[in-house]
Formats: sequence, C-alpha cells, structure tokens
Amino acid sequence: MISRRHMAGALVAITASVLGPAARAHDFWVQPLQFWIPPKSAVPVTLQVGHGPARERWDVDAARVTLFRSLGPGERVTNHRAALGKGIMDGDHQIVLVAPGTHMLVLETSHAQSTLPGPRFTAYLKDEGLTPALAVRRRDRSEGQPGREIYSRRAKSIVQVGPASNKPQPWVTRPLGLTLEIVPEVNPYAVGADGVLPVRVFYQGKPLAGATVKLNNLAADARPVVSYRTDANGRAVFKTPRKGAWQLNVLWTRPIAGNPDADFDTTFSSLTFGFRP
Amino acid sequence: MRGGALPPALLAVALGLALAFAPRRTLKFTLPTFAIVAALVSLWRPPPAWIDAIFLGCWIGVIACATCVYLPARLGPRGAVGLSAMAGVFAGAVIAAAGSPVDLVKALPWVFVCAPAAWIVAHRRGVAIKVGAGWLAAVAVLAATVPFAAGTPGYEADHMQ
Repeated sequence: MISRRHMAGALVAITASVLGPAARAHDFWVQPLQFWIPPKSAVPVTLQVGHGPARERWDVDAARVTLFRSLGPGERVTNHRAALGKGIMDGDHQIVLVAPGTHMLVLETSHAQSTLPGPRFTAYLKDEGLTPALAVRRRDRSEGQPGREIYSRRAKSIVQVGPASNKPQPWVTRPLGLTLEIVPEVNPYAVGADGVLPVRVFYQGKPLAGATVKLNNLAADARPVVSYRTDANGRAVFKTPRKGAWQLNVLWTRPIAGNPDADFDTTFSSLTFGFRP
Repeated sequence: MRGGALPPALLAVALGLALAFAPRRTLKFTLPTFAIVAALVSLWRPPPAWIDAIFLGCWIGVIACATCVYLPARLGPRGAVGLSAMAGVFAGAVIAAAGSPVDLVKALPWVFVCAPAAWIVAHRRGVAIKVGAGWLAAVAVLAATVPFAAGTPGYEADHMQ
C-alpha cells in the first residue's frame, strides 16, 4: 500500500521534473553566412551562442576574444582579429578568404564565470557528460551545493573557397593546439554522400575518452540530432550530412583549486561546417 | 520543461483521464484519432520561432483535457473525438518542435491510463481521478506561465558569455 507521504513525494518529484529548467549548457560557435564561397570574396561571419529558443548572437565585449584567425592552403595563417572590431560584437564580421581550398576559422576566448544552483548544475553536468566534476561532487557529497565554474570557448569553422578537392589539406585534419578541440579525421567537404565523418577530441593535447560529442542541425538546434561518447582514442564517428549547416559540440571540465570564485574550469568547443542548399 | 517525451506524455495522461469519463465505445475512435493525428503532425517541421506558442498550446491542451473530468455531463462521442484530435495535434507538434520519434513512442502509450481510470470511475471512485486531473491542470498552468515570467530563477539562460 502506498502511503500518502510517498504519494506526496512522488507528486512533488514529478512536478519538479516538469517545471525544472532545461539542463543543457549553451553552445557557442562561429557561423559563416555561407560555408561555400567563391575565391577572393568576403563572407559575413557571426558568433552565436545558445540553442533553440535561447539562441542569440554573442553580445559580449570583443576583448573576450583572444584569438581569431584562419588557416588555409599552403598552411597560410591569416589573423582576422581586427575584423571583430571593438565593443560589443553582435554584428556581422566580414572575413576575406582569398586562396581556393578549405579554410579553417579558429577562435578562442578568455574566461567567464558562472554559478548555478546545485540541482541545476548537477543536471547540466549529467547532460553534458562532464564526469570529472560529477565524480568530485559525488566524492565530496556536494551535489546540492551551487556549482561554481569558470569557462571559456574554442570554436572552429570550415569554409570552402571554390570547389572542393580531394587533395590533402592537413590543417583541417590535424589538431591545432587548442585546449579542447574537435578534429575531423577527413575533410567533410571531400567525403562522398553517405560517407562517415570520424572525429577525434583532444583535451590539452591528448585524445579525450568519454566525452559527449553532439551533432546539431543549426536550422533546428533545440535538441541534438545525435550524440556519441568518444572511445578510448577520443574518437566518435558520425554520418556525414550532405546539406544544411551543422555543428559538432563538446565540453570538458577539470577541478581547480585556489580560485575564490570557481571550483571547475570548463571548456566549450565546437566545429561548424555546412553544405550548399 | 522543453523537449523530450514528458510534455506529450502528460498530455496523453490528461486525455486518458478525460476519456475515462466518456462512453467506453468511443475508445475505438478516440485512441486511433489521437495516435494518428500525433504521428502525422510530428512529421511537420515548424519554424523555430513557433516553439513557445507550440508548448503553450500543449499546456493549454493538458488543462482542457484535465478540466473535462469536471464536466457535469459525460463527454459525448463528438467531444471525445474532438478532444483526442486536439491532443494529437499538440502532442505531435511538441515532438516536431523539440522531440524525436522515440519520444513520441514513449509518450503515446500513456493514453492507456484511460483503462484503469475508467475502472476506478466505474467503481464510484471517480473523485481520485478528479484529484489527479486537478494536479495535472495545476502543473500545466505553472509550466505554461513560469517561462514567461521575467527573471524567473532557473529559467534565465546560463553560459551565454
């Protein structure tokens, strides 16, 4: 026989789950207006954050961006930091890409701080598969305590200038030294229809096992299309989309000590690419 | 509460409770109506800007179904089919907006709560169903209104910097 107390507890739990806030963290990415452009042309680029109804342009001060450049044919590095200007960056930024081939846009930011109520922080950690923080909070029995973290962003975007080719373009398929990055093992623009897109996730230069990588359709990004956990080699394998704009996203965190405002340092990393409509 | 199987499942439960007060013979029309309409609408691809309106419609649907158990007269066949079609539209729409086919499969069977609920009503314990329906309506009212309340703790977006 179910007691009234148990019944009341069940109702409270169900109500809380219904009314509880979304636990999903907010992705950040570089969004070119087109992913395929003619040579020697400019493409408007925006910086976006959020997902679904909470998606918006990243309206923070440009000083937060510590690096914004592209790597292109011939391993040529172009600094686009000046294109972001100064002040709040919620506008379009004109990026000029000259040489035909595949270009990789790379962006890094400095840290921001976040404090979330304990249950919401725990839900976010579970949703994003941030097992190091979950383990620490479980060990310390602090799962109900507010979650304090500093976090920063890493974002890459693949833009094709001119037609795609099968020539090796190693700046697309090798790690670029970001704290956390998604590295495609093949150029998505050179993969045929229904091909596979294996990616590897690197954290502090080493393959990261057990990270949750999500594939989002940027035309309908309220929920990921699919998500996989990386294997022991940091690898996850996706089926290559052939149309639309796509984002791969991953987060990782590590406990930190000595920071009066934070117990964890979290990195968000994304990789965007797209195909002609 | 956005996305997943829970909003359409609650709508299915509310419909099931309402159907418990309808003539049993209507079930052979209402249950297929609900399932077919939901499945068809879930194939729709709504504009992202519609998501708030779709979830609001879902919660209004829960309230409408839940309050039907308080009607002084029994729900008639036409009313039951209409209610099922309305619930199917919003269950399918929330799946289309922020769910997956798996969520639809998880949510729809909850309408079969109508079977035990009808048994309880037949044994003159319908007040228990009315209490449950009242709780569902209250949850739906909160779910519909809280996201629109400015600055509600827990609903402000996080990690936006």
